[in-house]
Amino acid sequence: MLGLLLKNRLNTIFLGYTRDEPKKKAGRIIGTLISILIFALILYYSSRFISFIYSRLDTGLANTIFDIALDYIFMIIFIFIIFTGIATSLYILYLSKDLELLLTLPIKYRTVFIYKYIEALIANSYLFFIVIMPFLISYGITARLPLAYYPSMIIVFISVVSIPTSLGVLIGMVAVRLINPNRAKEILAFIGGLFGLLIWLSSQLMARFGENLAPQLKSMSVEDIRQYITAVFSKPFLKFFPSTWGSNTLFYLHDGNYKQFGLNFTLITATSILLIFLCIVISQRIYYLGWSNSSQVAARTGFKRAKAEKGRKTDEDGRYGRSFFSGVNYIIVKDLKIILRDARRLLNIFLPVFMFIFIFFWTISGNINDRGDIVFLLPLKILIFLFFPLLVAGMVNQNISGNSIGGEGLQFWILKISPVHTKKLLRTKIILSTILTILCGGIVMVIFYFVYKPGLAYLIFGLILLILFSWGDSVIGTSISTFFPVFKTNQSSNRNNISFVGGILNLILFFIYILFFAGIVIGILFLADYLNWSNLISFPIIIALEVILNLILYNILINLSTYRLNALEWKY
Amino acid sequence: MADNSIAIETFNLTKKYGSLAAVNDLNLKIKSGEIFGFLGPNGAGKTTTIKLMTGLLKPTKGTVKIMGKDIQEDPLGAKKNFGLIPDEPQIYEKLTGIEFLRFMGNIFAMDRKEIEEKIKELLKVFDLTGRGEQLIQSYSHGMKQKMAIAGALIHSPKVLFFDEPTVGLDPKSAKVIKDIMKFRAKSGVCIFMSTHILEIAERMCDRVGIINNGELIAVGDMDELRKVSKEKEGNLEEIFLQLTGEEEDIDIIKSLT
Repeated sequence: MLGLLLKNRLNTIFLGYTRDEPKKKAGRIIGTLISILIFALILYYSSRFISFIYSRLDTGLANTIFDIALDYIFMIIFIFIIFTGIATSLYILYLSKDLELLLTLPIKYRTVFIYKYIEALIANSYLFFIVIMPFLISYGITARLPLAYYPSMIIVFISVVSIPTSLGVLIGMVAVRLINPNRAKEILAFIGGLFGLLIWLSSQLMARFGENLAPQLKSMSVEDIRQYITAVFSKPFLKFFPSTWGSNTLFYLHDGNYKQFGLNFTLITATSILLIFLCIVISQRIYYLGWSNSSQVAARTGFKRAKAEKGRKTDEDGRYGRSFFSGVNYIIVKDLKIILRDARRLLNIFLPVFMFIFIFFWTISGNINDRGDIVFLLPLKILIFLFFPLLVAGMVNQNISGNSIGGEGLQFWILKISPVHTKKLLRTKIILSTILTILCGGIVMVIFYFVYKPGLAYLIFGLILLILFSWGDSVIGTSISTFFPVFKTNQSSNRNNISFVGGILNLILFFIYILFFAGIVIGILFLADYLNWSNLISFPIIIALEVILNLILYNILINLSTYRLNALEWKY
Repeated sequence: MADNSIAIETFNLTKKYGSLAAVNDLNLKIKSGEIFGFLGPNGAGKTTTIKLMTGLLKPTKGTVKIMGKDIQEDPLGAKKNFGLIPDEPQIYEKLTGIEFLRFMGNIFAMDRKEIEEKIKELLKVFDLTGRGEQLIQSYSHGMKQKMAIAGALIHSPKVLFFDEPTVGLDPKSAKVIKDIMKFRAKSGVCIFMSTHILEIAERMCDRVGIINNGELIAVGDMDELRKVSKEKEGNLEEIFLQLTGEEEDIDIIKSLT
């Protein structure tokens, strides 16, 4: 069925050349001829350019230049396609003319979404195919690379364009959950304009940089130039771009380093396949959850039908076991479902994580690496590894536990009339906040673990501290939310479901708590330093004291909150 | 009536906001299996009474007992026994119908198997079988109302509070709800219903209470209400208008036209 859909699409394109209006027909033919001409010209001139570089420059320097050039070209494609992918997702899914028809046909919904994904992929990448492919072919011919280079090149190209396409489509789908597709189109045009402006500004800066660079390069030796270029352009962040895995694949093949070639090839193709799969599954899911038009109703019916059929196949007996998340604790499941389906609340929770990681890596991370020898009871890197995730977790927690009671919205009456002890209700809210806070802090901690490599013992200690901190901070935030809730019509109608005073108090108490929490750690480390205790003694003492602090907080605050919540009258 | 035990009992129930008494010294005894209609003009105190009875508001004075359990002294014991259907179906829009019912079953500590069976049954009764997997946000007002009722019924409560049960429902859904009320009452469930639609109250209710300005001005079956009012042969509408003083308003309107 997928083949039939694709064949039909190709037919439509082909018919455009034969049956369209004469003006449009001529336009298509001229466009195609120009594309072929551009492809041929790039092929010709890039092979001459590459030959020129290799004949005039030292091979090592030429290799470095092409390695970096490939990294940057692929990275630019990658970033560009993420943006175009957002636009494509809108045009191909939400604003498309044929999707409604396709979803009403007797075709599996998954097939329709795979077809739509392929359409998005082609729409996103055909321009780059015309511009980049001849360059890559020239590189292969000029450098006399083995035949395996050409299929690898095609697979790498598809992978490099498919990853940002998947990401772009997913971002686009999430954006549509927040704003109307037509409005999203206008916002996207604005962002695209800003992005264009940024590229123009960058090109101006690069031109100046080149002007300054040329005289300097003349006075340098080949090795100096190679080192200079590597130092300027080989940025550590490049390693994290999947596009770099693609360019590395081609570069290592050229270099004859087959181990690295295999590793990068596997990494890029596996990521690409995984993201394609996720994109198709999630886009169908998000589409189903998004704006309600007739095609989405059809999609959701199909999606749910398939899900229901799958559900029926599961063992009936296995479905009815008791689990931790049954009974009162089902409130956690309910809250998780609501949060996961509410893009605005998800953004509120995860945005601080990305923001803090970004700020950290672009500001102080380099300095910390440079000053790794600074030791204040523990090496600076370890202290950052232990405490920075707590800070992020605390900021994230403001948006989770701070909203826990007000986040119920006008549905709070349901919990108010339910036969659930208020303490138990608060406990479930604290568990949910703790889980989400640990998740967010854990993401930061794991990233930092790979950057600073503190060792397994510190990782375990750090995770225990994170769990304890998340628990304590969730107790504080949830309690404040019972005293200052703001109930709104829709759970997601606004960013916060806690009053301004509550928000400020929550923030102040978070800072006080982190001071106490960190004070215990630093105090015991200081004592350990003075008394020559090993980590095996000091770490358990720290953990025990943090547990005691949390238990005191929990017992005081939960009783106050219970009293407050019981006294809360439902006048809405 | 299947059971004559007292399901709802209020004693001097009072709710004051400053000097204004929204509900004043309300004394009621409603039996199991009885359908009790609670009538009154806008702002008379109907919804406040329901909120006091269900623990959503705290009384300034007096007590409420549900199946013998004081809602203030033993809230969990009382809450296990009732279900509430508010006038506005404010339920979790980001859950699907089935997830919402599963949630309701869980917080009433029902067994999982029982929950799943009840869900199937309720979806069928409310003609929502094909829509249970969809998010509540995609439902119409009537469907949301039906889902709220299904949520209140899932744990088979002994007392049901309906606040304006048929508002926003199509005639078929309204009929289903009326049938459910009758059926539940026959099986011993006490139905406490506030409504503006006097025909429904007259046709369905065993007894009716009329509240005006927070005061219970009359309570009883149709014959007892006729005795209280001057309308010896009148229907509930005429009795209601006479008791709440709105007949005078009608005279004024007539004089204006």
